[in-house]
Amino acid sequence: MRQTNKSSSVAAPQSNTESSNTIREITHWIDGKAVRGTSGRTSKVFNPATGKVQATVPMANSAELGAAVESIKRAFPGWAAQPPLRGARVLFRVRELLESHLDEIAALISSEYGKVLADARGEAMRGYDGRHACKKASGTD
Amino acid sequence: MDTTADTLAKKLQERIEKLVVAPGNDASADMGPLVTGVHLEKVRNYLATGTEEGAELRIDGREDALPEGDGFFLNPSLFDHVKPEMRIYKEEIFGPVLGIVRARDFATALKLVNEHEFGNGASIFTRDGDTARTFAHEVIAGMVDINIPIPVPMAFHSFGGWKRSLFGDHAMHGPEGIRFTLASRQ
Repeated sequence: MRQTNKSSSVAAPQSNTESSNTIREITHWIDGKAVRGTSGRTSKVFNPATGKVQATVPMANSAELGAAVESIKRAFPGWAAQPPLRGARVLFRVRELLESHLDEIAALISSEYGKVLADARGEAMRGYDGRHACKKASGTD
Repeated sequence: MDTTADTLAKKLQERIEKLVVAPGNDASADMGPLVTGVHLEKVRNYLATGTEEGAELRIDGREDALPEGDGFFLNPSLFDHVKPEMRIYKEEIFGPVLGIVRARDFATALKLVNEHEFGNGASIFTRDGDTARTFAHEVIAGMVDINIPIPVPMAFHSFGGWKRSLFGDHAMHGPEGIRFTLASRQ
């Protein structure tokens, strides 16, 4: 599945943060690619346990938003034409990825929101359970 | 009423004082920091406001030692004798602050919950099945639990509050959510 939705990438490693002088820069994710922000406006991402800035996240402008929407519009007809089985396979893959990266997702939630790891895992698990429910609902489980 | 409330408050106090506040990635942590410095200040201000309003601050989260550094930490706090006209009752603190409102009986307590402008979740602790059933039927809140402290359903059920505890002009968890999401055909 091409990731055409506009969201922020969380792929950058965590070590590239507080101790080093360069602050990790989170990017947009548009048309299946990590895209640096061009608006010049950013927001700080704190680690609430240290009170320090661990990353910056770009604030999109209308051109970037438009590019993301256009990408979705291009992708939509092709995906809408796929049989449900194909969609179910994609959901199944998303579920696998969520499961295999659960600890990393929990660590990110903890470092950005301050949740204790057990709670953060629980939150990530809720997303996983939601995917599971989607699969059940599609009748492919 | 006060005997029951006193016993509860004492037990809560003992339990709260044992909670470990530490960075989220510390395995011993029961509770991590608040999400931002601005929010930490807001919650600290509610502790001051509640005290000014006349509630009894049995545990002040600003007093005890906190993890070293500049993290947005606050220890858990417990208010007793909170009254419905106080801001700490009317507004959502969204922090580690628990308030005890003393009510004479079940009917008074239920009325309190139902008259509040928010209605995210509500729980009752009881050994009486009739009371539990009445509560579940009559309480005006989006999520209801019996003998469980935080009412949150499993992920595949819809999740959210009623009254002012929801975003938007439609309750997306429930029949309206299904109508919005699906084009149903008979």
